[in-house]
Amino acid sequence: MRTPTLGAALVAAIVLAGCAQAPQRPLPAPEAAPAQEGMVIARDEAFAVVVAGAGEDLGVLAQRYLGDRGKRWRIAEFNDVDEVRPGQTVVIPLKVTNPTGVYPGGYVTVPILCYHRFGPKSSQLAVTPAAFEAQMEYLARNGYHVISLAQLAGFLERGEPVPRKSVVLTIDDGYRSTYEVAFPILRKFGFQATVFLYSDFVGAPDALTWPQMKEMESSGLVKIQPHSKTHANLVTRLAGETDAKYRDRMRAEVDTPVRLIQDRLAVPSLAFAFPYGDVNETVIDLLKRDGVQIGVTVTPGGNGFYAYPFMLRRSMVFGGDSIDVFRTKLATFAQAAPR
Amino acid sequence: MSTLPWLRGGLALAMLALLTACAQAPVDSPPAQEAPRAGSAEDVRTQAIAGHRRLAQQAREKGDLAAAAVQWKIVVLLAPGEPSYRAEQDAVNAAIRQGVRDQLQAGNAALKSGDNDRATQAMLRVLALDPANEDAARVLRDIDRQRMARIQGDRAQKLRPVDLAALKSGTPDAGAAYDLEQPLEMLRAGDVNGGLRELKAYVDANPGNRAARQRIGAAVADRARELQNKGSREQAFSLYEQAVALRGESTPEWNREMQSLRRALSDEYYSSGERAYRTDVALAITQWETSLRYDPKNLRSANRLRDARAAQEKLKGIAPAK
Repeated sequence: MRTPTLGAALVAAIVLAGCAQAPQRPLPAPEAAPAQEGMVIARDEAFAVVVAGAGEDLGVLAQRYLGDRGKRWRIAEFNDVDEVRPGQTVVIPLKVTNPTGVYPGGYVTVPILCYHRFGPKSSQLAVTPAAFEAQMEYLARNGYHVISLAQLAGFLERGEPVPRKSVVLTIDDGYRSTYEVAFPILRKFGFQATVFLYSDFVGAPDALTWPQMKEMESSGLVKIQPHSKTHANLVTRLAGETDAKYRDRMRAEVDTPVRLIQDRLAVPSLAFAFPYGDVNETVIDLLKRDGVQIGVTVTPGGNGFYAYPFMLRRSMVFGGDSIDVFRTKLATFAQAAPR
Repeated sequence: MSTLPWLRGGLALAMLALLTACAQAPVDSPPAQEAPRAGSAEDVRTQAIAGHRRLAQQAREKGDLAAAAVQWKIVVLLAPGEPSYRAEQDAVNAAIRQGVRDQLQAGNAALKSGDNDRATQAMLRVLALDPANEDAARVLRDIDRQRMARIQGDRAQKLRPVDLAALKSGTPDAGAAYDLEQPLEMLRAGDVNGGLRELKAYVDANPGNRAARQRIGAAVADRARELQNKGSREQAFSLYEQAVALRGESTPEWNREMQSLRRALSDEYYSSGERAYRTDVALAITQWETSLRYDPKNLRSANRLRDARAAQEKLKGIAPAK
């Protein structure tokens, strides 16, 4: 009587152990010994099926097969694992299988968060250091990938995939608190951010200085990008302003910060934030002439692969936002409407 | 023999547990597979084939044909000589092609009839089947561009009225107050010219928003007070004047401060005129004129200005003729 019971239990245990996903614990830091290349079971132009060798983790596999350690997430997402262990069979997607991020249940969207000022006293546009740190902690702990605007441009214009839970951080205007408060926190988490500077602000008591901007740029975490010259609303005409005068004024609003950032920081302009989020075709024309590829508004929401690159949605983070409110701004997947 | 049915039952239960466990695995990813001992490449291949076949079947059952196609592609890569796998792959690809044709047709029809929402859903279904479909992607890009252009057009027509209750609560609706909050922040951060220009533009667009105008006036007056405390009286006075204009009316406190600044500035210009008079009569006259602009009742400046002008006239009279 006992043998069949044990036998069945044994079979069930073996079966369950075989089917269940291995626990996804982070591996300890890799040893100094070089990773051994694992066995390649099959390979064509689209996939490689490999058995991870000793010391081969996702980063090593991404470097070996995709040429970039930073693309480890592509292997992780394709195989639905956080890490691989030696001896584990994984599929390396050598080609992009889903450039648009559309699935039967919905599609990937990338939220762009917009901050302004940081300080001890919270207001609509000022976030406290504690709140900002808690928000970054939330992103880090919940598997969000903070990507750059350049990566987002690649997703929108060239079908280069981004991680499923991607988010972009932006900080407008160029307040000194960006350097004093936000930058150390960004550095702590290794998160990238884009600072949109309106160039007339430089020199004001609470504005960033060029050396501060240079230091942030040098870190590789922060990109300084243009946000107009004066922060005037770019679609509003002055009283009695002719088309030609308006265009000249807009040329100054676009060209001045682009050139200044190039001259002072040797940084080309990829993106532009529209003051108050407002833009028209005249401004977009001028931006294109300067080589700008992306324009961000303040229309809230996430950006699917199809988003118009010069009118990207961006959600403002306010001083009074709780973590629950913050979470609602992280729209990384839009559900498809039921059929 | 009596134990045999029980044994069968136990094994059946175990198999059921196996199937249940396997069915819960995500459909879009292969299972994490532990490789057997070294030298068993064929075993690894066999296990991988089984795993990916299972994923392909699960994906198809869930209606995710794109994921099923990817899994069958991997199965065929692992077992290129097995015709039944290739047939499965072909069948999934044929179903995808058919689905894409149907949804593209539906989407284009919706687009023609002006139903962008229905067109969007159909095109998303195309891309769920064929994520690289350029036709569907193009339609979705066009629709989004139109949608965003419409949002921009609506915004350009009017500045949004401020909901101060939302502003105070810090709720997501507080975004409506951004047009006001931004220039206030510019002003506080020391971009006085930019902040004032933007606040004036806001008041011009919202002249009847009394609550917003009071808030703007108070912020400008705060800045004036800061400058006054630093001894920048002239700038402070100018800001008080703009605070009054932006608010639409003054307050008793501002009137007091402005009155005090008027007197102080008038005295400063009086003294400056006195210093200049010894060497530059024209400059002294300008200084006393400014003194009187700040305080028309400054008798000392009025007297000195009268005398200086008379002296200037006298000097003109005795100037040598050329």
